[in-house]
Amino acid sequence: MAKMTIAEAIRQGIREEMQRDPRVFCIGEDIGIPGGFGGAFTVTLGLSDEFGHERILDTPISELGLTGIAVGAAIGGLRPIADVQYGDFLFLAMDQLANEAAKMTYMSAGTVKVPLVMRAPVGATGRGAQHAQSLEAFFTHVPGLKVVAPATAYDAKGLLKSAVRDDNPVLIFEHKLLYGSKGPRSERGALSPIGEVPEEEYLVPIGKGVIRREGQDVTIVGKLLTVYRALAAAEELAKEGIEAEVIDPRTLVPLDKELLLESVKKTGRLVIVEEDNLTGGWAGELAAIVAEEAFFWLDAPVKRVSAPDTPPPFAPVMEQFYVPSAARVVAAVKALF
Amino acid sequence: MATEVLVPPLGQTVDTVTLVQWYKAEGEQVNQGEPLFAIETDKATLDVEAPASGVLWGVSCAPGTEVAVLTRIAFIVAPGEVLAKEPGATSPLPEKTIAQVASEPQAEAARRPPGGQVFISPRARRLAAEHDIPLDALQGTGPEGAIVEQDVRAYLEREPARPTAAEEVLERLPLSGVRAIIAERMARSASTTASVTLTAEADATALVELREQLLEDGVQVSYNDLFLYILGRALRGHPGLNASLVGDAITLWKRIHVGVAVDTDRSLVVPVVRDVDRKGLAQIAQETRALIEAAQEGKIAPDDLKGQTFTLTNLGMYGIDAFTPIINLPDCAILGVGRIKTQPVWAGDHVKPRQMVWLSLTFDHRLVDGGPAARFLQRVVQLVEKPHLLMA
Repeated sequence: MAKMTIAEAIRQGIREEMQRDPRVFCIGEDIGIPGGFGGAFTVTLGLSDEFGHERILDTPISELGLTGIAVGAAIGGLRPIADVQYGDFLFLAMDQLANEAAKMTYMSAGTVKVPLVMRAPVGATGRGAQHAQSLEAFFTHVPGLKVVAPATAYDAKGLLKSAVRDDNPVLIFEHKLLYGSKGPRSERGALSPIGEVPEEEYLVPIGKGVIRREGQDVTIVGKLLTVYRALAAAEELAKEGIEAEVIDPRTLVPLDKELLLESVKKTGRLVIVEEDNLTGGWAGELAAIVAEEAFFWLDAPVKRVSAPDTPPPFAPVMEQFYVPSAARVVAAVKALF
Repeated sequence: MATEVLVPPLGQTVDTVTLVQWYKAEGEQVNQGEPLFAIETDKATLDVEAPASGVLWGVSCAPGTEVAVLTRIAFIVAPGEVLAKEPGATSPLPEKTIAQVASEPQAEAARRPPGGQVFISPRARRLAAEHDIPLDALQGTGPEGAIVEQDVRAYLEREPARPTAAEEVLERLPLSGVRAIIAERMARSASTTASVTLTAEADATALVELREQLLEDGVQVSYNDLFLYILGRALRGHPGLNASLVGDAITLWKRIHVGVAVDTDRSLVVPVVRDVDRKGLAQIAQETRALIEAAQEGKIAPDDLKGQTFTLTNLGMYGIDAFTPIINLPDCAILGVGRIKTQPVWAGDHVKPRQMVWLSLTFDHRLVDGGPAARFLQRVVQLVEKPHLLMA
């Protein structure tokens, strides 16, 4: 079994899908130019040599344009994997994603399929307010879009392959600090979630979460980078006798509600950790689900650990303060006992 | 969170003050810093400011009252917050509630300890309900002092499982020996006979007088003896009630043996007085007395406990008026006698005191119909009311 970073695992997933299905192609900015990085974070590095520039399509810097091309291609029968260099730029493509891709199947009574994959890096990594946001919650709010957020190399490849084969538009959010800590585009402070990735074919189903750590005292839900913050917090808490269960939903839409509810019914406490701003966020949605469907199992208030309601700051010290840390998760959990 | 309204300390020499007036009424909105009440010391009258903003609540000191400094005389609560009534407060908190709390169940409020609210997590509430634990028995250790699951678990560990009333056993008695026999016979009687109970009230004044006369004349007779004598004579004319079901045949017996239900320390026993229709009252009385004594002492011969053709049961000495006896198998019927009680009875236009008694005849409708049974009871009533007919 090969050990891979998330960037390598996604690249391998794209490669396999392109080999398997000639309709699959990549479209993005600087994803295949000679001497380039292979996209902003090396995911498509080398793929233009293997598949040529007709299937690794570079576009001008126009997110609305490239997303429109991808949506049209998907409607027309191809299976595009589009990407933007930074998730923040998805706002430029919002109309194509929220008004076109998300609604075509609905408006056509199911006769039009939009098998689009849109990949987008998120997370605060020293790049300031317009290159550091976590936009997942914006898209979980749009009916018609599936939203996945892999936190491991295994899941990244398996979910990407499932996304390519899905007839609905799927947004894949990837955290910049999880791509890997080595290589020319590694980020300062990046984790090395290098994981074993099978060489044989496998898929990770969209809509199924996993328990990353078992515990009976409190449920901590994270996504992307905050899964790792939650796991670090759980280790700290274990030293004080609090056994936390850490859940990684992997898919935000559709959400694995059963996994969440069963865990809360077991532990009676819930802390949700996300890098997004607090208000109107995904954490609030999870809290509402639990309040509605598992209220009588709760032994303490539900806590959200999120970024404050400000843009991500540029100054590294302020960014550290802004992004939920393991220590903040520990404090939030301890307040429930 | 409620803020206490205290009588302020006024220097070292002042221990008590007199409350002059409240500037705000119970339930009224108050703002921090505005005058809330006035107090008077031996030197001066001064206003005291509201220590917080909110709703004035739980006023426990009326104008004109002398009150010690640092006494809590009210609360200021947030709108919607309700406080428990506090036992031992100088005066009970008013019954009225502010609008927002009107719907709050009283029992809920009463459960809270004095001074504020107690929170309980939904999970703990659910667990406490499952184990029938009253919430006021629980001590909260969770966030903000809330009762959480762990507190309920701690209570369960500390307190032994509290059985419900149905589970609390005083004593377990094996259903064996005489008790088992009685149980089996009663159940068999209740489940195999078609029993009907007829009740009739009889005027026993003459019978009572007769017994008094007999006692005066040295003949020791009980009411049981008199009823045995009456039954012997009555059954002679109603053989259908002196019967048993033997196999497929309703068997009418020639002889009349009446069992007498006797309550002993050990159990119910039914000694049999034989040929009551052929014996005189004195003999019946003597035999019955001997049988009952033997039964009480537990020395009765087994043969004396069987062979009855009818049974008499008397609960009059316990103040029972009427009841539904269970047929003593294999008999067809049983007569229950209630207490003899002086009652006002119409005699023409007048009410007269009479010694009345209820008679309860349970009979097996398989063997005899209601008409004959009623006529038999009527005959018994007649003999009770007119005992001179016994001689006729």
